[in-house]
Amino acid sequence: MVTPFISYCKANHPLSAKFIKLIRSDAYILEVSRHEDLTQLLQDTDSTFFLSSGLIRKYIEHQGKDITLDFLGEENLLDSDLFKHHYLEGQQLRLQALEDCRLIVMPHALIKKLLHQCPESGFVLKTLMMSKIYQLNQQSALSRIPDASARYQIFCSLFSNNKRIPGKYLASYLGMRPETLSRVKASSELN
Amino acid sequence: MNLKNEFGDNKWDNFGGISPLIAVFKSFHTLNPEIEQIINEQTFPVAFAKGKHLASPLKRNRYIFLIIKGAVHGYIKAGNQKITTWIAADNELAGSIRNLWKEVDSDEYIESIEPVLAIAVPHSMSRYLYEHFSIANYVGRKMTEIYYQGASERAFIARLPTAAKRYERFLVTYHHLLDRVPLKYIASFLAMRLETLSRIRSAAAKINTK
Repeated sequence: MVTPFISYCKANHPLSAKFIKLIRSDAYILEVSRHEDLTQLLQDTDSTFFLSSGLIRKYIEHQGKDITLDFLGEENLLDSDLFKHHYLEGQQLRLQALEDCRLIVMPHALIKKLLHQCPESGFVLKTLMMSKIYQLNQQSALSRIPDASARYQIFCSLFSNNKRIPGKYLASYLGMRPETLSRVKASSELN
Repeated sequence: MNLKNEFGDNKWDNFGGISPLIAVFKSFHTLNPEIEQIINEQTFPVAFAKGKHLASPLKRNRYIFLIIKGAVHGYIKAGNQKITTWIAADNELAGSIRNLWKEVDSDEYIESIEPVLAIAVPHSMSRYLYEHFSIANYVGRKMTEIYYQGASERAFIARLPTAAKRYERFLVTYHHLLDRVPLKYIASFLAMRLETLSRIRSAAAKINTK
């Protein structure tokens, strides 16, 4: 059940038998249903989560407006430490499952054990974090591109199956109105 | 980008005899003499005039830079437009972290927006330290967390729904840049036109004088 995380790590760095054994013994699976709010669940569990399958939306509510910050697909990481960063006037970060999701949960106590007992853990965690930073930098660049069509095109090149994302959330993420997104999509399909 | 030490054996004379990077590392963890020696030997000061490129997609960047004095911005090109995605100034690190670990191309440019004095930190040295010293491994992870928080903030600020809110957030997290970075770069960073930024600043100034 935790094989997807092990496979993902192995693709980046050789893993010791000890590493694999610790993951198999101490990590566990969490399944959430589509539309479920994951915020409290993740906040209350002092852990790192690997999304094995599904899609999660990260958002905040600001002055009655729902602002989508990120879409997390397979092989993405989340951490309960995420909630320690305060965004805007104490507005809370929220997480919503857009599909049925399966998460591999790794308690922070397990992460500490891995770092202490398995020398390759430092590299593995660094690789995962670097991948996340790269995604954030891409988002950062994307949201600053002034042309709506260009933003949509670039998003499509980065996110392989945007049909999984409801239009209103995608519009919010791309910083445009739903009507603009519809127009941009139609124009893109025509071309 | 092929840089070299222009200052010879006296490279640290103006820095108290040691690389300033050592103090940065020590803020996370004590270091051993071997690590300090490697840092002293392999890092070196570099100077860039205003408007010079520290890195570009044409020349694969092999360094991170510790900015001692000055400011730089990272930008991408959208058509003919420069889109500023980050800004760094004194005592901050600048550079594309992605090709620290992978030999990959980057579409990012890094340009000085003031004259810059920086310490060039070779990727090869960072990799060596990370692979051979658990202390450096720990420091590297802590620095990566800082990068992560910075990247999260930059991604977040651009998504705030109004230009006014983005500027308000900028004042909270980047106010130290306000009086030294040209407004055109701040406007680009905040995903607004220069005219919009000027209007917001004028309105804010009027409120403050009342």
